[in-house]
Amino acid sequence: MMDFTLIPEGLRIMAYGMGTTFTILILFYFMIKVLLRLFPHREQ
Amino acid sequence: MFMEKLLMGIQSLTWGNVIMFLIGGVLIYLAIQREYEPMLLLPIGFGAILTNIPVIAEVPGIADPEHGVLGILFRTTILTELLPAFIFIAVGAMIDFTPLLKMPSMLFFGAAAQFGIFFTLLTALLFGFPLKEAASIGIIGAADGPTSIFVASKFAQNLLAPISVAAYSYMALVPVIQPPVIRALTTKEERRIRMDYREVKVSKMVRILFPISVTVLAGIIAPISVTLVGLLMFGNLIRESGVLERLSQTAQNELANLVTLLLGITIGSTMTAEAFLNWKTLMIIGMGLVAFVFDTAGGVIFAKILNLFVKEKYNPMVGAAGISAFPMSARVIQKMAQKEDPSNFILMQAVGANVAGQIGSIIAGSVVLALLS
Repeated sequence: MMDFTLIPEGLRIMAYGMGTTFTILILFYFMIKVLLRLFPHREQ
Repeated sequence: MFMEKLLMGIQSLTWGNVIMFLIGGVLIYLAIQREYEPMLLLPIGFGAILTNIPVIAEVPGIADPEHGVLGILFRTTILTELLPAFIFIAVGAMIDFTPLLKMPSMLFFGAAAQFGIFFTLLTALLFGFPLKEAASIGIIGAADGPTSIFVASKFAQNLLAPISVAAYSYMALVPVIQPPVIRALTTKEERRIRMDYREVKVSKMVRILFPISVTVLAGIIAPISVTLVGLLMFGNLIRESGVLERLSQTAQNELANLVTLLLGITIGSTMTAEAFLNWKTLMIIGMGLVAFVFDTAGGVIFAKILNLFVKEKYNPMVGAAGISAFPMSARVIQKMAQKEDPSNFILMQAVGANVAGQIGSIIAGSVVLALLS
């Protein structure tokens, strides 16, 4: 027995969920790039 | 009367109890004989046996919430989210983010491979589960035991046991689940794609600032993520600081072992016959597989889409490593790559994606919590 009533809500959660996850991880990507640029590894 | 008391236990035994003894036994067998996530499945299996020993009058069961040891543990450490929170400290202390810091682009695969969470949420809704229960089932796709337990203990305590069993069982089955999905979605040529690996050195300062920055950034964007992300990164900071070796070792060993021990048996104590032996449990087990399949598919397809726009192609199998099952998924991908071309080494990229998946799964879990709280 399939129930389609909450599917629009589920699709909304999917869109927001994947979108927010991607956005946050993309921000982390740039954050890591900035950190690597600001604090490069120095040979001792 | 004396004989009556002795026979009360036997008379209270139901077929449901017996079946749960067998299920507990199967979990213990899988843990010991097949070594499927023994640290969780063995305590869960034994907890299931304990909780299904018949309760008789005047003798509270071990899972009784007021008087039973495991019931008190469940009420005070699982319902309060205390134990799942502690385990994040332990997990954070165990993770080495260096492979990810060397290849931050792997974060995209860590995000894409969380698709299974939301697809499974949708599937669960289709099968009539209410929204919060559907989200708890979907979070099996995080392929991360602590995250699954954390979200399920918040949204669907009645489903905590089957969700935990499904999450840990499928994590152990990653070497069986991922290869057929990858082969179905990729061509031989794609699986043979080589990826350049450039050795990048990461300074200690970056390794220290990373957990702090992630916590602040994630906390500002999604305040509800502070517990999950914050404690994970706290554990990682202890590890990377270099001055807290004793605390780091305690978090990685004693804390991890103690929490896992109590978590497993407490979750197992929720596996009563009434709660476990129903169609919902079977559906959860089935949808757990859907979650892992679509996680893998999400990562692979995302890599293939990226390849349309980049000059240096990604091996799509690395996308599948964006699942959080570390380090098993990375090893599976490297094995598959070498099967296609014995001289192709994509292990470092796969490990980077796998570590990214660990962050991705916790962020996705936090997002689910934020959207539905």
